[in-house]
Amino acid sequence: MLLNPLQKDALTELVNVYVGYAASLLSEMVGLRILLSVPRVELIPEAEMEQGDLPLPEIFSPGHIVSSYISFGQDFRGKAFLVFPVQQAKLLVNACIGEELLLEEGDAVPPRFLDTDFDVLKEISNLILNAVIGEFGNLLETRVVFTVPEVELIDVTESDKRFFLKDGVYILILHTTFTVAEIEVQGVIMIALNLNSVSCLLNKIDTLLEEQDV
Amino acid sequence: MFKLAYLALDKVNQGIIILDKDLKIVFWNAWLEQYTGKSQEGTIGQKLPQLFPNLSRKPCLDAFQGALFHRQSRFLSGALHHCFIAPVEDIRKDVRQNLLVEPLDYDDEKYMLLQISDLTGHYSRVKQLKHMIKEIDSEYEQVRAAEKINRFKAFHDALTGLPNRYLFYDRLDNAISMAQRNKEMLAVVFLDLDGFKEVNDNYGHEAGDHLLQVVAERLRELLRESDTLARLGGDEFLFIFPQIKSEADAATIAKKILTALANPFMFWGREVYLTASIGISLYPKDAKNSRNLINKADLAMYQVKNSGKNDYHFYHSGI
Repeated sequence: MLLNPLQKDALTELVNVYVGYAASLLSEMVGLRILLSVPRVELIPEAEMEQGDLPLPEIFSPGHIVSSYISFGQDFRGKAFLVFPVQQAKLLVNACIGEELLLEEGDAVPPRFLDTDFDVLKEISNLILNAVIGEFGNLLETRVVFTVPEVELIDVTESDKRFFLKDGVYILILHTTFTVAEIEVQGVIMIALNLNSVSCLLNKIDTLLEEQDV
Repeated sequence: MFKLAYLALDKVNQGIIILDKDLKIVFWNAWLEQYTGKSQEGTIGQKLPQLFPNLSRKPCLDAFQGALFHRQSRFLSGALHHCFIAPVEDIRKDVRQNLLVEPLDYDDEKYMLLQISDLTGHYSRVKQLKHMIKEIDSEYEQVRAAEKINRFKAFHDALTGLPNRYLFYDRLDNAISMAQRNKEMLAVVFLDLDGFKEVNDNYGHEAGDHLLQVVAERLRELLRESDTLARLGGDEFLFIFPQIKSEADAATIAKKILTALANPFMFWGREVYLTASIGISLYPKDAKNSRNLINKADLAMYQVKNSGKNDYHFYHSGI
């Protein structure tokens, strides 16, 4: 069940709005102008990911990543992840708390992540994931129950990819770029959804498209 | 049982607040009484943002709204928001608190649960830790810089800055391996200054040292990127010229060296003339290892010394 071009366009547009909303909340919170772009939206069956056919080379290349996730849902159920390579996460945190961080190109040693940094990331991902998932809930007119994010520093190996995403049947991937105080930070929002939730979402998008046609 | 749960919340080592949909305080635990100096009696029924203005900031109001109307749990960190509830007469500067806001439904009424943890001590330790990490980083950089300098000193001549004997042997071994692999020829050139002892005797060691530096500079200018010039000690210098095509190439280089030294050296207003005796050995013709190549270039150099100096000779088996 992949997205047809019309569905993909509609979903991209919706997600752009959601992510824009999340960015404005984040800007208010840290008192800095933050832009969040959504250049690409993909819906991938988990089975394809298991076959190692991953379209996420930068984020999932072996190494350290920082991931935070929330579980949500009743009718619209799944897990949402905000994932950064560790250096990018550190850049984002430091930009938000106004600390300077200079990273050397190809730095092999991951930056030191203190638990206060995890707290900042927890709040950022809480805000972004709540905003995006909340808007999906509004779209589907369903009640979504959220948990507070868990933030983890993971050393990713090939086998971790599957473990990481195991709860979903379909993975909705939103490739994002955060621009905070002129610093660009690459990240990915991933939403692992069960079959029923994906069907709900696609049915809703089809309805929206039909309404547009009328 | 209800009373027991109530008592337990009073014993929790962090601030617990329950708010109703109008943001009025329904529950205020004992930790908060002690922390803020405000009693349960004085706070129950009061609007929380009015008691604590920091909680009327937009991110907090958004979090309250999210919990009440969208059932969203929100975490607000002390790193970004510093303090939500002012502690009583606190002498600590820069109070840091984390706030967790969660929706709470009871009897068809919407409430929310606020959990406040004071992390001021923790943040202060983190600050110290960051400071310590910065110091360690800076010390590490200093050690690295010192190590770099020591490494340079270990393999270079202190007077001229040229590679010393150890680095020369290493470079020559590498050059031989490369020449062997590519089936190429290389030349080792042994240079000994003529009349340097007289300079030392007539003008003193300081002048001699200065002269060696100037000589090194002139010789360095003759090098291609792949060539090596080292000072062996005293007035002896060694060259590696890799990738030469013929003996004639090596002879051309030797002539250039002699010409470079032919111009007078000026110091203290005087012109000093110096010449050099040069011996050359070739890989693979004369020897196939570094020690023998150097020895043979040295023998060739001595032959020049014995036959009038200021010239170059190639090694040959008759020496």
